[in-house]
Amino acid sequence: MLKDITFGQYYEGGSFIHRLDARTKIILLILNIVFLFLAGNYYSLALCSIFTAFVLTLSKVPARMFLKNIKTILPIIIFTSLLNLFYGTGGRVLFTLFWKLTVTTGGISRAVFITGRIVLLILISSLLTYTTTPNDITDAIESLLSFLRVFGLRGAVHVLAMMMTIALRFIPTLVEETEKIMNAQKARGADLENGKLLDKVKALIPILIPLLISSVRRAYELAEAMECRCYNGGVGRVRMKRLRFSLRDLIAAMGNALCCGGVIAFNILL
Amino acid sequence: MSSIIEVKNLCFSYDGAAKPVRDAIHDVSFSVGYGEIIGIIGHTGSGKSTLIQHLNGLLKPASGEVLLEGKNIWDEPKKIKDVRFKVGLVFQYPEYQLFEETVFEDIAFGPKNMGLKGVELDNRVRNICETVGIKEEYFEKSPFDLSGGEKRRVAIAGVMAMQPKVLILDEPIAGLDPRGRREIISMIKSYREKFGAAVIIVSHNMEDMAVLADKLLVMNGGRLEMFDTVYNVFSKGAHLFNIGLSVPAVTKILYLLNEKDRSIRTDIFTLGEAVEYLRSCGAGGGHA
Repeated sequence: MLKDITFGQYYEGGSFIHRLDARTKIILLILNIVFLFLAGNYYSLALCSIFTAFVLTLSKVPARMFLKNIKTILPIIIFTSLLNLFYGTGGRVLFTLFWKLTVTTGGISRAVFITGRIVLLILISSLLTYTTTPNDITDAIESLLSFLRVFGLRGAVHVLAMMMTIALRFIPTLVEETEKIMNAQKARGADLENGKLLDKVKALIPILIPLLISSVRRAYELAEAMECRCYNGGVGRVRMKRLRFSLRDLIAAMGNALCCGGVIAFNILL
Repeated sequence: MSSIIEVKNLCFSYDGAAKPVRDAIHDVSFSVGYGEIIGIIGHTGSGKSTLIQHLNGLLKPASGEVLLEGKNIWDEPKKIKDVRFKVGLVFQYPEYQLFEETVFEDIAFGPKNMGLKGVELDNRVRNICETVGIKEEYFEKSPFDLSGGEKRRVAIAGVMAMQPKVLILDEPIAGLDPRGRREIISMIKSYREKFGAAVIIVSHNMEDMAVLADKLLVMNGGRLEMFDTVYNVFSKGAHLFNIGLSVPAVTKILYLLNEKDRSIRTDIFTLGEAVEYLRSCGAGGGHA
């Protein structure tokens, strides 16, 4: 039940993709998403699919992990494709359901296209979280946003990244805590499963209040522990694990550029 | 003496790769009689906490059964809540489960879930507070304004207010000062005396176990290692050391004395008795 919650669903591995610099992965992901939306016809979309399939295989993350992600957002995919099915115009009218809801070949084509785009979008984004630890991601974000220091925002970037790191770190702790409190209240006869909606909401109070209190307590304790170790907001801090660009990142960037170039070419030529 | 709770061939393991072997239970059987105080000892991960969560139906055994007054608690899964009122379980650090605005309301949470209302509820809470010595002036206080020891007493009273026939406490005195510990222990004793309930305590503190418990249940690697009187269990000191446990500190001292002088007894487990014994040694011309 609660244990099923996975966050920062990192999949341990040592593939080419795993070993890429987290910053490279984030930048290339953004690039990929942009080009997914730029892809204007089936040829360029097909190119994107081939590229995505190639990268996914390279990561050596099992296919079922990706399928699991697709499954969770299946309702959204169905909804958007239905919407596009009826929105799309052009082509032959196949049949009319009622009123003005008509299904045309143009509509079908559009729905398939959009669905393909969304699926690719999810696959390529989940690749980032599967191959990069949450901590690496936050480090990378901090590093990527460090240009903000020009505007005197350097401290703020570090603080944000630290907050993200701490939040990620404490998710398992809080899950465990929630389970403990739930068990304790169940032992006092709290009924968490049955009853009407209002009863269920009320039943959450004995769990949420202790959870909130212990989170605040933990925050104070953590703050004190960090201060005891002379943490003062990150100025002048060095890292144990430093992010480094390498030849690998260059190769990845070239591969991506190739794909993006292909998308543009296909868009114009075909 | 008939048994109030009986465990027969209980087996359990957490599924998933996270805890493959740890905290599993292999074929554990024992029974507890009315009014008995049972101490459960075992090192971390030996399955103590897993075991006690089976007794009130928070966990369902993979095989084997838990009999409460001769009836399998899982006969009617829908009525498992009733089992939880009869078998009160106090978790480790119960003070973190307090949530109501006042002490009175928090203690009343359990009885309320049992369906008690009005005067009956009021009497139930007052009754338990009187038994365990929570004064009326505390009733309207916020539980969050209390000290650590007081919070824990309120939390334990919250479980006692359901008047369970079996009271299970997981490390009830961990992290308290000596006074807080004494208060909790006297609370448990008064509860047992008044309601004739069986009490099961999980603890790492061998001294308190020696004073409190009638019998000790020793867990090791998910198996029942020993289930015997305090005397018989602590007499097997070497075996306890082997499985990562210990005997009371005072007994350890007697062991050391025994190395010097073989006539020193090592089967004394409480401080009071030891003092008396050593005094008598001294009076008799003394070898120590």
